[in-house]
Amino acid sequence: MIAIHLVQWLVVAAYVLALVYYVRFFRSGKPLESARAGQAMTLAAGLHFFYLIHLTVFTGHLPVTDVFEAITTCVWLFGAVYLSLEWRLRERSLGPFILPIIIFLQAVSNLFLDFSHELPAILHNVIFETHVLMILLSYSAFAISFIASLLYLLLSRDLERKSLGIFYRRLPSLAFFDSLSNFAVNIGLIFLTAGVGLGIYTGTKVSEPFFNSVDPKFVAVALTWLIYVFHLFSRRAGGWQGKKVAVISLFGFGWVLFSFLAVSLVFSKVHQFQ
Amino acid sequence: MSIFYCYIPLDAIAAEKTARDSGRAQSPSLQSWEDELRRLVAETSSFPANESARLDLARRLKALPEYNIEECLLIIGSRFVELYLVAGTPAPSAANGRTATFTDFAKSFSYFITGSNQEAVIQFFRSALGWMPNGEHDPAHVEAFRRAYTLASEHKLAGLALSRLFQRALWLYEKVRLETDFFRHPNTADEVLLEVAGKIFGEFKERAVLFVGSNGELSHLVKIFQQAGIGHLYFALTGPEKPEAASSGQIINSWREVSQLPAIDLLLLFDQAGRNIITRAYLQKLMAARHHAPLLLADLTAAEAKKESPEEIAKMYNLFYFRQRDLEGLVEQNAPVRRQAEAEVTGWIRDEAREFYHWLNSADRFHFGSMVGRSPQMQQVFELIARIAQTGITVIIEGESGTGKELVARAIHQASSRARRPFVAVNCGALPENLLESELFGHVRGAFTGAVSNNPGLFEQANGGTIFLDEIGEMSPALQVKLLRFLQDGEIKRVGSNAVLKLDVRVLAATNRHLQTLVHDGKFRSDLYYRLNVIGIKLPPLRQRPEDIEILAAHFARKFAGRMRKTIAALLPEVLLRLRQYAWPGNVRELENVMERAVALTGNTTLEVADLPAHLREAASSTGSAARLPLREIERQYILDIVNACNDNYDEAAKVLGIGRTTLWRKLKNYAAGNGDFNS
Repeated sequence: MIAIHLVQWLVVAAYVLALVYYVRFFRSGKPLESARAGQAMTLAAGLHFFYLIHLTVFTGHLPVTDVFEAITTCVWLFGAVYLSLEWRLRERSLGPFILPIIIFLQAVSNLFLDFSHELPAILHNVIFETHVLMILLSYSAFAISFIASLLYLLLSRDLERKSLGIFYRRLPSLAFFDSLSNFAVNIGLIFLTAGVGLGIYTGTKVSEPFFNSVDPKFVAVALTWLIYVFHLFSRRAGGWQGKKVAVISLFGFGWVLFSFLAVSLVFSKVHQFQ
Repeated sequence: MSIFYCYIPLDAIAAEKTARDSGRAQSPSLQSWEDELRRLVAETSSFPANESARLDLARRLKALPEYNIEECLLIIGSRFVELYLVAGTPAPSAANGRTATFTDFAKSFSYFITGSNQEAVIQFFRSALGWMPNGEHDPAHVEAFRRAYTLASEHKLAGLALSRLFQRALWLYEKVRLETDFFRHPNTADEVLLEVAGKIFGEFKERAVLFVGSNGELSHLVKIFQQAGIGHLYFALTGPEKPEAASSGQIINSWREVSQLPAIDLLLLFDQAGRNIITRAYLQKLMAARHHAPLLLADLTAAEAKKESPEEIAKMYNLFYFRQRDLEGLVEQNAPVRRQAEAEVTGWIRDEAREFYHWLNSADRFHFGSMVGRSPQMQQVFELIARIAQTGITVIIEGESGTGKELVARAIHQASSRARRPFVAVNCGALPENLLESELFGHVRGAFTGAVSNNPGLFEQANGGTIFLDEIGEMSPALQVKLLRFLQDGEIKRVGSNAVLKLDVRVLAATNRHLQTLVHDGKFRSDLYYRLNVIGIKLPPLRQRPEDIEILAAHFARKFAGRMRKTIAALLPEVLLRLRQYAWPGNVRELENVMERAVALTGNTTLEVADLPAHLREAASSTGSAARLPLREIERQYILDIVNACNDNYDEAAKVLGIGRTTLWRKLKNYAAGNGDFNS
């Protein structure tokens, strides 16, 4: 017990350390410090992965069955997705904005995680776990899109004001954030669609007819899906670009956060199956 | 040795030339080298871009008769000529017995801005960073600088001093690029515009720019955008004639064509005429057609607009609107950061200059015997020699056979205050014990059979000077005691005599065996070892410093060519490759012999592979002789090797090695820290 608590707070500490390096790099812009930031982030993600394995062994199931387990898994996926993006794009300026989210969510998960909750039988199966993982992956992608859109707007604001703020100095281009945000939304939508599909499939296996009761979580996720589909179509069909799309992405992720935390907390169970 | 630098704006050269052509020049005679130099410089304006003519000029500079110019580097930029000359001792002028100095010349030449040495070295570093004397940053200059150096070193116009400077300059460039904001802040409105465009569009490959207005001053901007790799250039010109710059893009002739252009990302207005064309209605239409994709509209007219400004539209749509004064404001905003970076870089340059000046001076004063080496290890050895020479302490020189231990000893002697007193070298391994004792300490008549007269030993001969004991590890224990006594009290006794002689001799010892092991095995007295080993100089074997092979080979080729009255113009790259791949168990001495043989055998002015001994000719394929090294060491050597092979072009080296430039820099920095060579 003590060991696992130690590890879970070590994870937070590692992320905080990485944040320090990222902020330092963001302020100075020196390439040498960039490498250090990346190493710290990789270390933190590695430690987090170790924690997740520990948790799985400890509880006997993948850590996706209640909201705080899901949060830590989601945070890790988010970090891993970000790291792979960073590696692929050779761009580290997003780190200082992503890490605070990670640290906050991980701390929330640490504080409220209950190691010994009872598990409905239905939740203990591979398809269900895949369903949750898919949805969490899509949330991670939406979070990347959120950050990218936020930075798009910040950089855009610096350009409009014609002032050389820190965002102007350190961020890449508007085009970069635009395409990154769109890319992340596309990926996120694919995962979300697959995740919802699997969820409906699992739902039909439940004894009572699934769609008779109004499941708040289902409604929330469906709304999320609609928002991002709108995002996709506004670009593809409407030809929208830049700020407008960025605002949709901000709104979409705001809704994701709200539904993820609020709906789960208000309705204590993962789904209203009764 | 001195370094001179001059900076000559091309218009000054042109004026000089006109003056000369019209006969107004002061002295048409070409008797003194000053006139020759003046003439050469005056001719420069006629071929600023021609490499071979530039090279010819550099050669003639080097061959200036009355001054001993050893190395030179000539940089011809777009608006100026820069000249670096490394000169040895001035030769007395034959005509009037006066010694011509470069500084005399500098005074007589109005557009010389600096005299010599430290200032010149500082200017060299600034030049390497593209930091012009007027404070501007010129990236094109960095390119010109590197090209000039490559040319100079290919034709042996750049020697040790310029090579070292260049190496340090590249190092500094990398440091400045990766560790400061020096290169990151645009200096002019045009550069800021490019940066802003970069912040909006990222890459320019797919982007299109439209220049609108009368011909104006667009050539510079066009060049900037072309260098950035912009995809499409369009020109809507209102002026009567078509400027040359417009030939690089498509010229739009009518308003209809403007409105039909597919996708314009950048709109650059030059004057009121341009403003009249780009109306509010047009912008609205354009923005709508672009689905509010960002558009950069720059009004580069100095005068304020009279009519409505596009600011309102900018607010409504994703339009970024910059006026000339906005851009200038951004340059102003950059100023403090830039000044800070410049101050930092100036400090570094001053450090580098001081260090180089120190190195130059010491190299000049001591020559380091006939040692040559550009590797960090050897540079370190040279520095150590310079530092300890004056102290008079004993030194142990460790190194494999053929690494030049005696040369180091001679260099120490030469650099010390004993230089005018004798230098005596003894090989302790070459003589049997008894003989060695009487050789070293001398003997009196009748001391042993055959001792027919009093004979002073080598120690006595070396009195006031230096004695060099080679292969000290071979010395017998009895002799070791005597040597220790001398080191402690400065006293010796001749063999067969009781009289004590007080002597003042500096002892330098050398060994090709690991002395500490001998001490450990009890074959060498530990007290003598510690008494001798006040300072240890370790000479690295040649295989550990491949960067020295080329310079050594060239040195020996020159030396033997002079001795054998042959002309050796160059070593073929294949020859160098063979030399670099060989493991050199006999070290520098072996290389010297190989070069002597090659020079003797060759019937050509270039050395070829056929002139090398058989085992070297095949060396390329065999790796058996390579030493067994830890992976890390192999990596280090390989990286340094590649960097060296790329002429310290870190960009290229990183590409060859397949690692990032930052990674390469970090590794080099670590190596440098380990070597203590580069102060970073």
